[in-house]
Order: sequence, then structure tokens, then C-alpha cells
Amino acid sequence: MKFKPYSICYLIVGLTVTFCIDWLFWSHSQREFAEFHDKKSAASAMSAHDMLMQHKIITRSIHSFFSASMLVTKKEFTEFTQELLKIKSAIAFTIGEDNKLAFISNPEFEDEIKKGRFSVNGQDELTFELAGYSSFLMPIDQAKQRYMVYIISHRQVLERLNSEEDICIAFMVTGKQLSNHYCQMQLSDIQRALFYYQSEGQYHGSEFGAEDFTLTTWYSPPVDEINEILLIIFLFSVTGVGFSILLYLKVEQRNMLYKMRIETDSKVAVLSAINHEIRTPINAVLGYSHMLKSADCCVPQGEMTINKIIWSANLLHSVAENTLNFSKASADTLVLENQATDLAQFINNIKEYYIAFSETGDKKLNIFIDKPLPPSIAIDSTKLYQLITNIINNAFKYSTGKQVNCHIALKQYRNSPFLRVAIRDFGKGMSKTSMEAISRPFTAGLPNSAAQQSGIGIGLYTCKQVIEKVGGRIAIRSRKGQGTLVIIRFPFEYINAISKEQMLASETKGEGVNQKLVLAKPYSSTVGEKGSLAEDRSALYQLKQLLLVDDNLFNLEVCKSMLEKQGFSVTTCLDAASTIEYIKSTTPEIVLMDYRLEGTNGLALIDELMELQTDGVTKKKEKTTHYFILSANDKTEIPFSEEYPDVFFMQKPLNIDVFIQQLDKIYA
Amino acid sequence: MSSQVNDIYIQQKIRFFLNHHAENDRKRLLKILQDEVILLNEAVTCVNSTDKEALAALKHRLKGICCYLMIQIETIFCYPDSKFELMLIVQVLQNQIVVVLDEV
Repeated sequence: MKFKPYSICYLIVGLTVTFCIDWLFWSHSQREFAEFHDKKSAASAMSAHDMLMQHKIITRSIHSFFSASMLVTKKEFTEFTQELLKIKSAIAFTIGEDNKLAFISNPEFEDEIKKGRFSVNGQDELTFELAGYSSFLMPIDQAKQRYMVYIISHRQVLERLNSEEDICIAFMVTGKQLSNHYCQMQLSDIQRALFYYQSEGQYHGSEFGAEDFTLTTWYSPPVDEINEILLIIFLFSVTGVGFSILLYLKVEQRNMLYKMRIETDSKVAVLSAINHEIRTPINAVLGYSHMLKSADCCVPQGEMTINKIIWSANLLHSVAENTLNFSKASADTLVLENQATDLAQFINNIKEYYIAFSETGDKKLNIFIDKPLPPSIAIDSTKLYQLITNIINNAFKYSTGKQVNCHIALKQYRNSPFLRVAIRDFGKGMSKTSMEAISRPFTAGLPNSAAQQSGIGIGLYTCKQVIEKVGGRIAIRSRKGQGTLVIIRFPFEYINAISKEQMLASETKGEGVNQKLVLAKPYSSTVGEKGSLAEDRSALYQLKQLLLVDDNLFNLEVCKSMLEKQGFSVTTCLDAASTIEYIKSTTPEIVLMDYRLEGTNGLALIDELMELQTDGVTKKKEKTTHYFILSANDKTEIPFSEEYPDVFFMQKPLNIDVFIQQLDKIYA
Repeated sequence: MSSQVNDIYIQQKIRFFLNHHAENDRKRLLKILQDEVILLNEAVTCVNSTDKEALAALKHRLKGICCYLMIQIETIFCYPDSKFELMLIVQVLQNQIVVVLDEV
């Protein structure tokens, strides 16, 4: 629960960001539409003002025309006004004493004008009304003519207004409203509520005899555009909310994984503790059982009991090994330790391991080998042994079938050889929970009547971890009622055992031509327990000069002791200075040094030593020394290790087998 | 794991290590190991607890020794991340060497 608020923060931040972006987009759209309306509205107002100014200028001109002349004739008036009103579609005419038409700018309109009606308004002013026109009366100083009437055609104004299609423009003049087609548009509720922009302006026409008029404009964006905006906001909101929820779930999942990892680590710690507690007694039980069995001290019934004890102890041992490998896999410290292995003997060891079970239980292991196997291959037999026995143990423990088949074959995949082991049982098949065990530790299958045996749920998971760490693969196929098939692909290397034997024979002057091949022993330790090829081949390296450099005296002594056992002539140095001094006077064939040295490191020291061994003029190496770095860390953890292809890297503790194999490669 | 179990585990590992060496060489090796661990203990005691680089070097030195004794410090202890933990492990190792030395 410690991390709950943390994940909610992600959700809140995600939703807030989504809301802010939505709001910004909305505001931006509103502003854009408002700006569009303001721009169009300003243009309409400007146009109306221009129109007003033009009519004002025209009426002033006509008024001046009458003022400048004592007597204006009809011909003069018509010529003057026709020229003026050619562009602006307005009509000017004068009326006499009896309100009868006197002069007219365009005689074509005479009949239409005669339809007009003069009247006196409440302020005792004379007005002229004609349908489809707006009129303004101006007194003039002429004999027999009292007023000049200036009328503007509504139709012409409307034509002008209709030229603007994107905005509604409405004139309110002399009580009449003139508006363009856009104003007739029916607006939806959304348009009216959310996207409606309106402005209104008052204009004064009284200064040239006209009435004041109002210009009203409004604009609403098209429905398509509104839908587009709403759709974008909707989609972005959905994406933002979805992303926030996903982020929240992801963080929650990470927190859960973190908690699970802590739980797993605790379980591993407990298991490790148990592992160390039980390992010694198990080994004792196994040892004493084997002792009793080989002593033939028991009657046949007693021997069966011993076999049962051996089988149970082996199972417990397997659990302890799983725990150890699980810890190593968790700590990422698993490495492949290939060693020469007699495959036939290895398979025989597996058979023997299950003899005890076959004798006591009702299940049987059948091993099939595809074709003749090479006498010896380089393989990490300890890990392979554990993997195979783990899978077979599972088949024996949980399968309801009576037979377990194991097919072993050597294959090639992408130019790399591997050992393919297919283990098949004929039981009910694995449950969903059991299948999960391969990717989740501590998930044991549900117990059934036939399998109430030990199982802490790390066996299958450890198998997968181990095999993937060493570059192999594991696949499981299980069908209900048909059984389970587990296929392991484990990497190995071919070794030319015959040529090596011959080489050894010539080196040792005919001794040991048919030397025994070293058999893989499961659970053997690294330092001293192993029977190894190195011991048999040590003659090759008898008295080879080897310089050992380590600032740790204990490590130095142990390594020296191990190497001297193999026949090397070992010289030791505790620091860089003494090493350089030694190299100046002697050229050892092999230099084996620790990576971390006081004041320097192994690679830097090798650089110095190589320089000492290089001719300063020709830049050619004068002396051939093979350098080995021995470190508690893996090669990948050593900085710049890739830049030294000629230097061999090994991990502590010194593994004589691996060291001799490297030397074999060099001297081959 | 309890400290007593740790002690027994380390003792067994030291004995196991010695079993692979000649009987007349065991005491000498154990002495060298003791000296090395004493030096390591002194170095750990003197190192500044905030000097991560020096602590890492000492951890590496301890790991090197443990490699040869086949002691998986990551498995029995949490991997030492502080000076205190490092001191604790080195002292446990030092004490168990004394116990085994008495037997040889």
C-alpha cells in the first residue's frame, strides 16, 4: 500500500494534462472563430461606413449644386445627377410646391416614384414613402422647388450584402431591416449555445438628412467544423484518459512486481538457509545408504528400503541444488562451465540415478539415443545433469502415466551444436497453474492423490532460468489426457579427443595413449574434486614458466599450489613493480594475473609488460607471452575487456580444467 | 540464516578447502589466509564508510578470497553494501579461521 498514492499521482497528472490540452484546444478554436467574426464584422462596418460617406458626398454635391445656381433647369439637374449617381444606385428628385415631381435624376424611375406617398410625421416634418426604397428629404433653395428627395434602392443594398457569404449582416434603417442570405440560416442548439458570435454598431445619417441606422452582424461556424473540433477533443480525451489509466495500471503492476520480487527474495533467503542446513545431512544419508548397499549387509527386502532411502535423499538433494541455482540465477552469476564429458557414461549415470526409483516405484524411465555419440564432448555436465533430472523427477512425481521416455540426440542449430533432450510422460497433462511454474517461481501444481510429494515450485522456473542463462532453450507441450513433452536444447562444443590423445601420446613418449576419458560427475566442485583432463595432459605443460601476479597472498599461494601440481614452474609477484622488474630479466611463457592490483589493474599492467616486450623501432613483439586475467568478476564486468582479444579472461576461483583447455587451444 | 549456522558453514568450507591440500601444507596455507583476512579487516576498519570506490575494492578482495574457499557470500549473506556489513563478514571469517586453525 506504500506505493498506492504514487500510482494515483500518475493518474491525476495524466488526467490533468489531458484536461489542460483539451481546454487549450477549445480556447484556441473559440478565439479563432471570434477573430474571424471580428474581422468580417469590421470589414462590413467599414463597407457600410464607406457607403454612407459616398451617399453623404453625393447629397452634399447635389445640395451645393442647387445652392450655387439661382435657377437650375431640369436638363442641368438630370445631367448632373446622372453623372453622380451612375455608380451609386440611388435616385434623386425634387418636388415642387404641391409635392409633385419636378426634376428626376433618372427618368426611367419616374412612374415608380409617382407611386410614392408624401406624409407629415408627428414632428411636423414631411416624409416620403416608397416600397423597396429608403428616402431622405433635404430642403433646397430654389424657386418653385421645396425639397430634394434622395432614395436608395433596397434591392441594390441587398445585392451588396449578399456578396458576403460567410457572415450575417443586417441593416436596420427607417424601421426596415435589410439582411443577407446567411442571416436566414437555421442554427442548431449547439451552434447557438457554444459557437455564436454577434456584434452591433450604431451609425448616424442625420447629418445629411438620413435617419440613424443599426448594423448587426453575427457568425456561427459550419456544423462540419464544429463536429470536427468536438471529435478531436473527444478522441484526445479518450486517448489521454486511456493513456493515464494504462500508466496507472503499469505503475501498479510495477509496484506489484516489486512486492513480488521482495517476497521472492525473502523466500530465496529462507530456502538458502534451509539449503545449507540440509545439504550436509543429505550427503551423509546418501553416503551411508550407498555404503550399506555396497556392503551387501541387508536381505533383499532391506535393499529395497535402502533404494527408497537413496531415491528420497536424491530428491532432497535435487531440491537443494535447485535452490542454489535459483539463487545464482537471481544473482545473475550463472556461467557455462564446459568440461570434457563422456556422454555415454553421463547417460549411464542418469540411468543409475533412476534405478533406485524404478525398483521401488511403478514407473519406468526409458532412455533412447538417436545415433552413435562421439566419445567426448565439452559440456557443462553438472548443469545438464540437474536439468534433466529435474524434468524427469517432475514427470515421475506428477505424471499419472507409468512410462517416462527420454530421447537424447545431438543437433545443429545456426551452426552451433546442441544436445536435444526430449522428456515425455503419458499422464494427464499439466494444469494451467503448473504451466505457470515455468515463468513464476514458487508455483507448484495442485497436489493430487498420485503426487503428494515434495515440491516448492522453483524446479521448473530454475530450469528455465538456468537454460536461458547458458544460451539454451526449453519448450513445454502439454495436452490434456495425452501427457507432457519437455524439450531441452543445451549448448555444447565438439572436442577432437583423438587428436588430443595422439598429441599427448607423442609428448609423453607413448605413455597413456589410451588414457581414460574423464567422466562427468554430477555435483563435483570446481577446485579440487574433479577428475580432469588437465591432470592427464599436464605433461604437456611440465616446467612451463608461469608468472603469477596477485596482491592477495592467500590467493597467490592457493593458485601457486594448484599450478605446481600440474607441473608448471611458477614464479609469484605481489605487485606491479616487482612484475615489471621480473619481466625485464625473464620472459615467462604464461602470465596469470589478478585484475585488481594495488594502484593499478591487470590490463594496464599487461599494456606495460607488452610494451617492454616490443621492439621500439620495428614495433614488433620480440617475445611471446600468453596473458591471462583472473578476476572475481565476469569478463563482461571488466571495463575495456573487449579491447584485449589476445588476453584470456577467467573467473575466480582458478579452474585448472578451464585453464588447461585454454592452453590446449593456444598450443594447438 | 542464524549466525551459528553461518559459522558452521564457513568452518566446513575452510575444512573442505584444506582437505584438498597436502597435510603438511595446510597449516601454512591457513596462516596465510589468516594474515590476509587480518590485513583485510584492518583495511576495512580504516576505510572511510563514504568512500564507495575503496569499499568496492575491499569487497572485491573479500570476494576473491571467498571464491577459493567456495563460500558464496551472496547466498549466505546479503551482498555487503556497507562498511558495517563488510566488517561483519570479514570478522566472521577471521573468527572461523581461528577455530579451524586450532584443529589443524
